[in-house]
Amino acid sequence: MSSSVSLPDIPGRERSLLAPLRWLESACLHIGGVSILFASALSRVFQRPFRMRQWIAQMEQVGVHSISVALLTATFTGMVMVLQTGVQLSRFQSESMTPGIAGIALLREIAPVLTALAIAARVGAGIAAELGTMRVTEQIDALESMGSDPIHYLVVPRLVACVVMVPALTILSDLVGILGGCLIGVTKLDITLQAYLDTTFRWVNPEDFYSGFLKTIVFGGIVATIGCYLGLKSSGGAEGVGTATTRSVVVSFILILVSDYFLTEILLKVL
Amino acid sequence: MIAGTETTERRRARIRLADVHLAFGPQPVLRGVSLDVHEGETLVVVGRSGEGKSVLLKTIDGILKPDRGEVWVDQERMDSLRARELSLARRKIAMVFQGAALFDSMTVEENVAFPYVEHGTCRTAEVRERVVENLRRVHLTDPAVFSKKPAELSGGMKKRVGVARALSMEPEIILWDEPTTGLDPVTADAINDLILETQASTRATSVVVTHDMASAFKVGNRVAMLHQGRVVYTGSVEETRATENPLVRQFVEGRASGPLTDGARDG
Ligand SMILES: Nc1ncnc2c1ncn2[C@@H]1O[C@H](COP(=O)(O)OP(=O)(O)OP(=O)(O)O)[C@@H](O)[C@H]1O
Ligand SMILES: [Mg+2]
Repeated sequence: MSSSVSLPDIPGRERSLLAPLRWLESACLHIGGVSILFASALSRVFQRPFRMRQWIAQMEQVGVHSISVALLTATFTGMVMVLQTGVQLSRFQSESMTPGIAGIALLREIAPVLTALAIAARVGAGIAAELGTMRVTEQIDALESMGSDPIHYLVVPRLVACVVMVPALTILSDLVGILGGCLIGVTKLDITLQAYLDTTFRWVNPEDFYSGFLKTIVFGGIVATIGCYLGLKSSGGAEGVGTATTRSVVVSFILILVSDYFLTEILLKVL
Repeated sequence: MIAGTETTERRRARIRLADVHLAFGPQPVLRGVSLDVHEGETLVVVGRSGEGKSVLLKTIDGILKPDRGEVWVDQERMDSLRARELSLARRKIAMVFQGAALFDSMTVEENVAFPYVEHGTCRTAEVRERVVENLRRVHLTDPAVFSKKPAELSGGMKKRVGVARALSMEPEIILWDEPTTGLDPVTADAINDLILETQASTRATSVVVTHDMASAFKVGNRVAMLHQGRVVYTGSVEETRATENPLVRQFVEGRASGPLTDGARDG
């Protein structure tokens, strides 16, 4: 390792030529690994025994414990949306449209995506850290050696919890976001409460809600699968767990944002 | 096949490894391990730190897959079973992990109850009774300990809870990874007695990895030595005590210089 001077020139160049290939190879391996994990978890959801205790514990962990984060995110985003939209629209004397525009943006994009991101940061990282620690302290090996299936025991409850709870929290965020916006509309933009609600209901359709809501099912799946995959794959002690945790947040964020675009394209056609 | 004799032998050997190779990336760890463990015996595996003893046990349990070679437990090839069959085959094998590997989200009692609860191997009403019994066998009788989480236990206590959890598997085969390392001499000897007692009462087949030669001679029927990725010596306890094999002599006598340490792998 020390005397790089004596290395012939060619292997170095070869190495740099091969680097993109290596990267591509590992990217493909990860994509394959994530897909296999997701498929195996899905195929085990209805496999006995149903671990109701684990399911409920995870729902509590993912859902109940994330309520405050989700509420805080939604309230302030709703507020700032209405403030910005109202101020900009007032340049065209169109501030009466504010509740409608803000409501649609909130239901279709802002609330679902921000809720998913908040949960990816809180829950996804937690999943990666927990399973990562279990991996490096041989708890996963112990589970396997006792004849249990780590995917059934650990991954399925987390996947179910995220797929149920991210949409559930999104509904909450939708409501709270609109209320937060309403507060600003009434106090700062001089729109009456009656007018605010009227405009909201006139502009906002059920499709706006569904198109945001349906996406969050996918987002929940992403958060759980990425967290579990990177956790289960981690190696090399505390440092490895730290890497897995950080990476799970980064990867989930990217996948949520990218999939959001493509899901939106599809949903705009379908709904 | 000419395997008429081979099959009968395989029936006598509960565990059989044939030319097992395993590498982590570029680093070869097992380089052609062949080993038989017979019904009801306790085989002690010794070898220097980092020789791959833990890896060997994990290979037997199917946690690690060898790159080459065969791993048989009874009539089952652990290295190529499908996931579901593998998890069934594992239920008769218990592993005592070197680092205990307790579930740290669970209390001591839940850890030890895990095999019973998970596999429904005893009636719900009996679980607690059996858990208490298994903990008693590793000298953990204080009820205050039962509700503690692993993080609140000392290293030696964790180790003993790990042993109790393995006993909860009601195993036919037990793989002990350094069961006495890090214990005080009194508890260590209690674990030795426990290994002997388990073997006598359940006729379990055991593989014990240890550095502790006193323990090895006390609990073992046979001794195998792992060196540079191969089993370089096997012999009964009596043979081992008297052996002229320089590798074994150096290990038993605990000398820093000798053929074990002259190997090309050490730096
Ligand atoms: N998961 C792993 N990834 C990479 N290398 C590993 C892994 N597990 C073990 N090794 C390597 O395999 C070799 C054997 O490790 P093992 O834990 O089996 O040693 P051991 O004989 O049990 O040692 P000790 O007596 O200290 O417990 C070591 O060199 C170790 O670096
Ligand atoms: Mg070891």
